[in-house]
Amino acid sequence: MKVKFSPEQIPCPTSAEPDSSGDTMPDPDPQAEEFVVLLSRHERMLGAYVMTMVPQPADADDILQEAKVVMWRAFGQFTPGTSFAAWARKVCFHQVLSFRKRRHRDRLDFSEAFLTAVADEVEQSSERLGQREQALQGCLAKLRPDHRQVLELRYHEGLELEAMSERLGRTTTALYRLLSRLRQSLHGCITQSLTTTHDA
Amino acid sequence: MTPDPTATPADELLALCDRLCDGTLTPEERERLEALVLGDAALRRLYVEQLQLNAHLRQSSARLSDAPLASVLRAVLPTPTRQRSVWPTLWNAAAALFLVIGGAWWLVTSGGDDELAVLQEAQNARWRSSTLPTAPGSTLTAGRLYLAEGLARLRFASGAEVTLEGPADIELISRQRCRLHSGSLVAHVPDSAKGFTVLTKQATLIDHGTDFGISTDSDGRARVHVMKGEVELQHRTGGPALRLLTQQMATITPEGLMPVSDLDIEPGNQRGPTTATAFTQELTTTSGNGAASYVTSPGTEKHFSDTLLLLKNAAIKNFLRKAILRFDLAAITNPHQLQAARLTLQFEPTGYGFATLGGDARFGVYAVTDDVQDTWSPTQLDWHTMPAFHDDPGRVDERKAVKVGEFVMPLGVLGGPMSIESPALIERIRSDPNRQLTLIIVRENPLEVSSGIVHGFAGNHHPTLPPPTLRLR
Repeated sequence: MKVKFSPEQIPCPTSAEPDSSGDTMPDPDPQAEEFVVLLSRHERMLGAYVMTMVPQPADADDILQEAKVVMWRAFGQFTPGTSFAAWARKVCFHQVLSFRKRRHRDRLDFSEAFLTAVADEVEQSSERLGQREQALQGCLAKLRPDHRQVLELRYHEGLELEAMSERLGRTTTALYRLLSRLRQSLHGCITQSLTTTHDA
Repeated sequence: MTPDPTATPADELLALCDRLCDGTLTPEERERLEALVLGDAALRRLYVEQLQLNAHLRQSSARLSDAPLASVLRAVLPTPTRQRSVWPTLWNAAAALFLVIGGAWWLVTSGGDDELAVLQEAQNARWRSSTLPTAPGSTLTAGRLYLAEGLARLRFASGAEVTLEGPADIELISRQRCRLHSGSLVAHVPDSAKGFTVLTKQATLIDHGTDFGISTDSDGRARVHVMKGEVELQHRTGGPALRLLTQQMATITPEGLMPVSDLDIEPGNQRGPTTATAFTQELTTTSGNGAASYVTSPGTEKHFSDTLLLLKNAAIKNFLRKAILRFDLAAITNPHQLQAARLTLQFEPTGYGFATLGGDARFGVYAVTDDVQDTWSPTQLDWHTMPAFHDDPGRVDERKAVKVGEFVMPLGVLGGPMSIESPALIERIRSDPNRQLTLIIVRENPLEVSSGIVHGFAGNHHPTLPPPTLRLR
């Protein structure tokens, strides 16, 4: 399925008119509650979705935040009973495109064709990707504690390789290789555990 | 990146993904990555899996290891938004929205049966490695809280309100039950929570609707004071229960319960003065010819401190530290009649290394006996030239120094005063020929991991903490 995005249906913030009051706090109505429940259920998935196209965490966070606002403003157009996840991904996809337009880092930015292909891939595999996320926790638990610590420093503390090298007393090259190897072994472990589950 | 001719397209893609996630991808590599992904469905799938793995690692990393609980909580709670100057009205909306989301998060996740209490507020609180969250407002399940200092107020789901006074070690068992391993608490128990029970090592306290205080040491020697209402005490060894009414007190010992009539007696637990020693003289490393410094092993190029003297011992070559102090004993009156001496060091977290790696830290204090080495200068000292040098980071040259004491900082404890008192210290102060006492402090048991904790105590230039101090009598 192609991701089709129609600007008419989902307002884009750059074209949205500023609110005169600046105070758009909705009344705590049933719609708000429904939105909040749906959003909180899918928030992690949406964050990961954005990061497949924009891997820099700070940029991805910004895009996700913008997308949440757009989702809320356009929530009246969401049809209950259809997939909120798919609808929300469309909004995020549009925010990725609009972020990219604003930034003008042409030579490093992915082409629209590439982003569309990636978005399609996620859309087709969304169920399997969800299972992979579930399996990750089990695979992390199987890692050696010192390897978990390396991942912790990199991903949780957000340390650069230089800082990690200083803390762990290992060279940046060795750490780069180790991180790469850890990601590969996690990837393999996840794939393996999904296969096992299916066979069982 | 130089392409390896033997690498498969999948290998090449993986290497490019690594660089993409690292932020080191060049425009040429970006083009190559696009070509690979657009040209092959299997590679497209691999790319998405890799990037999602990267994202999920970031999202779930707080669960990776024994991260501080606050950071686990951050991962669970909605993260605050990063404000941007563009579209201010939208961001107002976003702020409003996040209030809504925050509220709903409570709705969705609260109300479980296992939530026993809420940590309502904490004043000047410093926590040790608790098994429960320690941020004010946190919901507490069964588990243990270690309050190192300060006050913390808990409200049990039953309505009982408990104020913990640090240092205290409490275990939450149910909505109506907790175990005070050590320390003091004051409880207010409304009618709804009658029957609220505090267990100690030696006794069980059952409340009948009151305000009361209990203070216990880790052996279970405790004192109970009922401010108002009624409390029932039952000793571990059985025997008749003791009922205490308004303004009545009792002591609990391993042997039994005893009512106390003297209301003037203050609760005493492990925090009280351990001995009746009253010191008459005080000497710090800032007085006279005093000095305080630390040395680092060769190759240590970062992680210094101007205010703390650092200590570390691990199975590595660099980033090791030993501390060194000099007290000018000339000011001591009647050194030969010295009866007691206590050295106190004020520790503070350094921010370097992981506190959760490694176990308790044992420190040794050595007095340099080779008096010619007492003339060291804190600005010129280095690893090899320090008095009583030994290349083992946990030792000194014992031909030139004598051990005068040791102390242990339990896992997770990084701050607070640490003291030693010993006959050897008294003897050394009495008899030091040149009246210059050089002390060396080393961490004796090495860390097994290089990234383990760096301890630090206040030197002569700390803005708030007192310098190393000798108290004498």
